[in-house]
Amino acid sequence: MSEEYKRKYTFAEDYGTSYYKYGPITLGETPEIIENRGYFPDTTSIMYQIMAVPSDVIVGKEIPLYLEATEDLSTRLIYPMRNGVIARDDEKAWRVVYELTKYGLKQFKPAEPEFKGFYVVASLSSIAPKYMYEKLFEIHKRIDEEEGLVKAVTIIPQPLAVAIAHKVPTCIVLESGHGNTQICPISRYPIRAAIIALNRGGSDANTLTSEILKDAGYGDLAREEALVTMIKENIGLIPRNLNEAIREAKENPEKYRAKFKVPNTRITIDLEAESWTRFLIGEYVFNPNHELFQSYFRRGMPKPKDVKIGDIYFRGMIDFGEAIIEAAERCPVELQPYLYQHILLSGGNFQWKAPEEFKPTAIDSVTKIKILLKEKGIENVNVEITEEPKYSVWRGCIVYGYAVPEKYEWKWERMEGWLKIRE
Amino acid sequence: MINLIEVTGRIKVYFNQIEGLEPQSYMEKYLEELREIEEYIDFKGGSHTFKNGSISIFQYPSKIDEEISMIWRFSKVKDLEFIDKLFKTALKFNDKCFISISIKDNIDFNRLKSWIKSYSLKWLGESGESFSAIIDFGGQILWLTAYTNRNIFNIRGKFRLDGLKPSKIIRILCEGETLKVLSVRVPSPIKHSYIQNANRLGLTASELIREALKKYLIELYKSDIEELTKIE
Repeated sequence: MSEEYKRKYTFAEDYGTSYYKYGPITLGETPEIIENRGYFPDTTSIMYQIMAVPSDVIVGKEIPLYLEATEDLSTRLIYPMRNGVIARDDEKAWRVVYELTKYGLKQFKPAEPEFKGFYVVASLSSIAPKYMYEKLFEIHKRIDEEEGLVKAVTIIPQPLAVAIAHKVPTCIVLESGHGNTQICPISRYPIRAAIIALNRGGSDANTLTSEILKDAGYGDLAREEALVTMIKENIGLIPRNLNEAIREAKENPEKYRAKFKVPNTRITIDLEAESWTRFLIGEYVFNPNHELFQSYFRRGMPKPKDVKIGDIYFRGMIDFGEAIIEAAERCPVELQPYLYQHILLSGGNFQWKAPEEFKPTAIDSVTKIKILLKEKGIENVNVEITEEPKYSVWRGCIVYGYAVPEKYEWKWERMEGWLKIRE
Repeated sequence: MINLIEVTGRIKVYFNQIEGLEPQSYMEKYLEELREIEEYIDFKGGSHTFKNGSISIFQYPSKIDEEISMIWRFSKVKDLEFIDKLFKTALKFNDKCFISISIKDNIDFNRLKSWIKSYSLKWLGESGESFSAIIDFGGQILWLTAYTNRNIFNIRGKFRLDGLKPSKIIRILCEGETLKVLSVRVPSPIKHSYIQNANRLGLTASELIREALKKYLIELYKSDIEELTKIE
């Protein structure tokens, strides 16, 4: 096969903690996106037998049509990449990955007879162990045997994909998704010994938003995660300084009033006198150590814990500034100034609005990171947020697939190149 | 301007090599020229933002034989004229450029499919989710792929200065176009032969002439079609 063929049929897959972003190069700059989850319906139920559910695992946009009793969801609705790592023997999780991958590839099967399979670039968390690479290769091989959709595969770490999309070979990438955050120094390739993994992502801000809603009398709505996410995104603000922002919001309650009408419903959320809590949501993402959060923890809100998954240690409460510094300081001293010159923020958890009317009290993610670093003595840094943080990994995968020569074969020692599924 | 949901893509710009010029300088040259015709806003998050769209580098300038080429990607297109300007700027450096444009829109894909089936030079096939064809747009031979269930189509190929502008092509594909009259004066024996054959095939004379014209264009653009579909 030629370079032309590979470039024509490059396909990228980003296995995020919450969303799976996928699609061929012909989609331009925006991939398809579905939740990275699978639902195992109760196959013993009469309804299942009467209604003939198409598969024993449901993935994609149709999942809500098959959901059953809420109490079963935790065992039946599987988010395989919740922590970025899947245990080797977690059969259910791997089954979901297989179904999602097949679902994505099949959707874009080209109609032309010349098509002999995609050149797939998949992206995993930077902390994914080697066996996850092996499993993912196996999954693609199986899909090709069944559907004839994969010609070759390669896998790259998500932060590297971000750096590639940005064309920055030396940098620190903060990739913060729904479930966790990776802080990954890159010097041509991720420096694995310096990677810091945090057990904190967008879902933690959802948890706090949910508590705020309960306190404001919206306990009935606080259980629906999609709704909570929407509210978080619309009312949450990042404070320049949390204490000052709260004081300012309490002194000007009308100006900072958090009121949001849920589109296409009759529901309006109005935090009224508690509108200052909107600043807690943004602060919590970047630094959950403020004393105000203690009252939520005491009342039962789960605290982001330090956990060990496989061989990876995920930190819970460390603030983003400290985590960046710790990652940089695990690298050679000579390299550190260059790393601070390019700090890239990627992932949906950095997509925060800082409306003009709330400036300078409310700020964006870039400014917040700069402030956190400055507080710890690191100045003159260059922090940038990727153009579309949610899609930068997918875009980086497309660039990588386009650029890596078709003849360059996969080497385990370098973890790069194409693993040919068939000639 | 038609109100499209999303327009993104890539443009490959070719340069004739200039002795002593660093690769980075080719990017600067392109940007300089583009700034002349489109209002520049700023450079942020790896993207150059202009009044009607953004561009960022997809592939740095690289040299193949004596030719330098680089690829920009474009997004956040507010006005289709922006793509025309990217294209016009590219043609200041070379007489060819390759563009891939992806459009997400609530267009009528059934109408598009039937139009493409009738007037494409080569129908490449269809599945439940997509269809593909090679189309002639004013002498530019382009590849169209449509993902009907996702409301997305992609059009790509080499664009030329004397062909239709990208914005015009997108408009035709999204909005459809009425057929134009092409009058041909022929000697009566040929006219008679055409009508006779049309009757025999159950076609109108217009349909048969269109078919003949299509066959002629396929022959004329044979090498372009081969180049576009080349996979080795």
